[in-house]
Order: sequence, then C-alpha cells, then structure tokens
Amino acid sequence: MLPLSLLNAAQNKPMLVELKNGETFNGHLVNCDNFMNITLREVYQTSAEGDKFWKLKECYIRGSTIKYLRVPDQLLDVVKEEQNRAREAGRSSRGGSGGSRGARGVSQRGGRGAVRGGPMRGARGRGRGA
Amino acid sequence: MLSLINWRLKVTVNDGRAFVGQMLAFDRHMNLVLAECEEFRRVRPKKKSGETEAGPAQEMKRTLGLVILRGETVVSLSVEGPPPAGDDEKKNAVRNPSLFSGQPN
Repeated sequence: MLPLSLLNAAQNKPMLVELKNGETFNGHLVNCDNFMNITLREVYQTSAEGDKFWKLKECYIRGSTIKYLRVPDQLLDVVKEEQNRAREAGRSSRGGSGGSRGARGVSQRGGRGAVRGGPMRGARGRGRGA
Repeated sequence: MLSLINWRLKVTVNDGRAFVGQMLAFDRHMNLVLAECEEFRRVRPKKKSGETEAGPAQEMKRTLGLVILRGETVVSLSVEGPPPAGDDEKKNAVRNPSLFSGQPN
C-alpha cells in the first residue's frame, strides 16, 4: 500500500484536509491524482484561526498546498481486504509477486480513469507490459 | 524507512507540530500513512517582559485517526514505540515484495 493508493481508495469518502496555511476543508472526495491534487464536494472550509467558515458546493485543491489529510479509519480495512484479494488472486493464477503487481495496476486503473499521467507514468507502463 | 514500517513514530512537521502514529505506508516523497494518529503541539507560553513566572509548556493533544501526511512537510522522524502487538497480517505485508513493485527509483 502507498499513501496515494489509500487516497485513491478514499474516493466518495468524507475527509478533512488541512492546508499548509492552516485552512481546513471538510468534504467528500470526488477525485484525486498522483500530485495529490483533489476535488471535494459539499465542502465546509474553515479559516486558519478557526473563526470563519464557508460552505462550498465543490472545490479543487492543489496537492502541493496540502499539509495532511484525515481519512476514515474504516478505509484501512477496505484497502487491506482489497490487497488480500488481489494477492490471493495473483497467487492462484500465476503465483508470487508478479500476480499482485498486476492486480495492483488493475485496481488503480479502475479507480482513476483518464485523468492521470505525471511522475509515475514510466513505471506503470512497464508494469502493465510485464 | 522499510525497517520502520508498522512502528509507532513521532513525525515532526515544518509548522512545529508532531504527529505520533503507526506508520503503515510511505512513498518516495515521504508521504506517510499514520494510523491512530495523534497530533501534539507545544504551546510555548510567551512571556511579556514584565512577567516572570514560567508557565508550564502546555502540550495540546488532538486525536486524528488515520492520516495521510504530505512528505513535503516532514522535518524529522523518530521511533516512539514498537509495532503494536498482534498484527501478524501487517508483518506479512512488509515481507511481501509487491509493496514496492512498480516504483521507479
């Protein structure tokens, strides 16, 4: 599991995002990419001092401005379950790490669709080809 | 880093806060996944020149739960405690080489 794959698995889940400037955003994750850029829906924005609030229908947050994200604890169980399933499937069909590598690629592709690219593009291409 | 996985770590970030939690995952950016994470911030009692009594450095603690911490903000890591007992499943995950498959280096 990688931090960004956990984020991917958090789609449609509620989360809290704190930015480097201290502002926080509470909302449901709509989408994210490998830069950690995210879009949220039904957002409550709070100023850094915690004294002002805004409600936003939807908002986009540039990944580089994020300090941390809080995601639901239950998400871990979901991801582990998925991982185990993928590993078992890989073992029974081909066995070993090759299987889980393939499975990992599949789950990520399913998660994010067309919006992607960025730093890991080269590695992923190789992974699929193998 | 790999040897620290599943350990309970204290992570200092660049705004002075510290996050203590079990590190479940990291990547090359030092993005971290911390489970059962708690945030600590030292509230240094700022003394005006007239005041003399040294108020105790208050430690504010917040429970955050599962956190994805952006690597850019990480300043330092230190071990807070060993992996919580009774998670063999997680130990297996560490041994599994697939953890790092597909990562260019």
